[in-house]
Amino acid sequence: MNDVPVHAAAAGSAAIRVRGLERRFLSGGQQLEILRGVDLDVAPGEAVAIVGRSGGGKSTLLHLIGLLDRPDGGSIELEGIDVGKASRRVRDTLRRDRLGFVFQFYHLLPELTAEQNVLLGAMIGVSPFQWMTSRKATRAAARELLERVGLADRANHLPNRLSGGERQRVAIARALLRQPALLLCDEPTGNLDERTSGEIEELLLAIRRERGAAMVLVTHNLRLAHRLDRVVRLEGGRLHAVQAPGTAEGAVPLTMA
Amino acid sequence: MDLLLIAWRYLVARPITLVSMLSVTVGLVAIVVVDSVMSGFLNEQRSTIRGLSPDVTVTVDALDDAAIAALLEQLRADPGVVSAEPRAEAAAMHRGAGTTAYLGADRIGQSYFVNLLGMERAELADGMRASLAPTVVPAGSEVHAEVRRFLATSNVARPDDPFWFDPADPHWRDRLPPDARFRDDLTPILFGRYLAAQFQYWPGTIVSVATLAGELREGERLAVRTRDFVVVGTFSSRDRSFDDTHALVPRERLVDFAALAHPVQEIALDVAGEPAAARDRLRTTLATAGVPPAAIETWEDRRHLLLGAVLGERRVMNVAMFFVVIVATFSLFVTLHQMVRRKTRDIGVLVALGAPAMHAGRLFLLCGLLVTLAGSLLGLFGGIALAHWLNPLLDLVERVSGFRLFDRNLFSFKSLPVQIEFGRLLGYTVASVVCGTLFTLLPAWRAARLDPVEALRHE
Repeated sequence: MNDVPVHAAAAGSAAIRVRGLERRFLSGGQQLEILRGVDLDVAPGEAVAIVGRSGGGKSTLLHLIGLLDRPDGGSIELEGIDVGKASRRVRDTLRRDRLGFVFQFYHLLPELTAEQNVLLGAMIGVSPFQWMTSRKATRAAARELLERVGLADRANHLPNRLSGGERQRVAIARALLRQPALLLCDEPTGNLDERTSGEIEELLLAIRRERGAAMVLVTHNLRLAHRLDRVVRLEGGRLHAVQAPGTAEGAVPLTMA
Repeated sequence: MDLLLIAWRYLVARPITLVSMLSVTVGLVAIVVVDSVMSGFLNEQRSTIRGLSPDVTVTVDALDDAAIAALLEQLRADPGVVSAEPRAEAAAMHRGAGTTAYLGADRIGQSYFVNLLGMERAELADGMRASLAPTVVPAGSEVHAEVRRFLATSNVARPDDPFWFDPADPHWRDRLPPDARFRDDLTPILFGRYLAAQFQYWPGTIVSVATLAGELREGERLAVRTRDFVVVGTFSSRDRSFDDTHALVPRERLVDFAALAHPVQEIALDVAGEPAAARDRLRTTLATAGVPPAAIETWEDRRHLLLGAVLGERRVMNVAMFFVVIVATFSLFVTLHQMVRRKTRDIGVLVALGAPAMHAGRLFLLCGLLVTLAGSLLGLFGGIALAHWLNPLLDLVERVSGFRLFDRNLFSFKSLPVQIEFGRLLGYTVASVVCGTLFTLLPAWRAARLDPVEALRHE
């Protein structure tokens, strides 16, 4: 394992570029340093897996990259935009238009049907009038995505009528609707049985290939992690490159570059 | 657009929101019905006060006949004055045949005192009705003509009026004196309906009336005058206290009977247009003409204390209604507070999908607004419908259960007075929507301030 930052792409072309990211939390009167200067570059279309111990800060890093949280230090550039200096509005717009989230527990809105859940991202910030004009095309796109994830016939089902795997498929379709540049997946198979987990793995990898979106995936599933372009381990608040299975530790980092 | 969809789905998926909406509805129904009945009562009260008072009253202070004539001429010359009618009043005691009057009363609560109100015509105000006894006053006779003149035609009851005196009615037939006929030497008198019933003064009854005559000059003793009057009918205003204490008689007969030193005490004016404008105009006109009366007042000037009390009742009711609105909409706070707690993770999801932090606040504000708007509108229309059909409903309840909510005899109303004032009711509806929205502000603010990361981790 190398104690070095993991740089994968040239600075100009990175989908995401993280430098010296720090994040601290107060817990029981004590300050915990979760991230201590994380550096990470992800090239457009590259898929990076982040592995590490539970509580090590993987999800925190994902939330920071996903603009849901603000770092205590360091910088994040998303497609060349320094989001640390961006206004709240710009951050919201970037999150809506350029990022897609897939969560471990799916996080579907239980009152909405599968199709409405997929459509949700396209509805945010849209006036009823704008929606009336774009509704047909957006619905067609949502239907197409549901078909792609194998749920065309479950479009009108509420989440409580879907299995865990089906819910995660809906969540993937929701994340893809606005054709994000970067897909952020937080343990997407962590709540599924082995067989369903395998199906979701295949789906995620296939969709990534089709769509060409970059992906940052947090997982404990090493099999899935090693099917991605690159694996990094978050340990001690820093990222370390992980070698491909069978290669010598610290020899060749798995990068796209 | 997502807000509308999510808010709608949240609301229809939760029965508790229906309870909140119904709470607002019930509150507003109660407000609308109470306000409409209260408005009905207040308007009855106001119209009673209004009904018994002329538009403008000119109080005359010790003017001789010539001065009064000049004053009347001036008043009638005013283009805004429709009619000017001199009036006089005298206190008296009455006694019917076969009864004995003991110094005012023969039992507590029964009074033989009556104020004789002398009028040119019994031009009773709107809402007052006089019943003429046709058997006692033969149609076509000179007497009949006099009585008809006295009783303003417009106010004499018609056969379809509940106060119509029907001689064929056994109730009257059995009570009429067998020799009941109008005599020329008798003065016609009208008693209030209930007073007449209390003393069994039926049309044709001869009633002895006593009063103190004239002015008491130095060295003179009090002189009591008595005269027989014949009851030619009854009247009923909507003011029970007026009906119980007044009798109407022709003014000239009263002046003669009571030897009034001032045959005219006030002049009642019926005016076109606003009474206040007529008052101001007449004050100037009469001052210029040099015939100033003691006072010129509108009906509102004369009853300003009572009208002030009516307004006070309205204000107190407004405050009470405001509290009803608060109580009715408070449940929204509880419901929305609960909803924000249960939907915390959804808030995180919305933010992750690109919604600004304020979006969640707007979502719950919209939920509150939809509930309170739907509840308020339902309450408004439900309340109006209930108020509109309140009397038939009360009748139905009385018929089915025997329970009488409202004693009509108490206020001499035929039915519960209901007046739907749309402007006021709309005000209550707006207040309800505003209150409901205010109660959702805190939960909405809490939702807007949620940390999206914490929200996503919320169990």
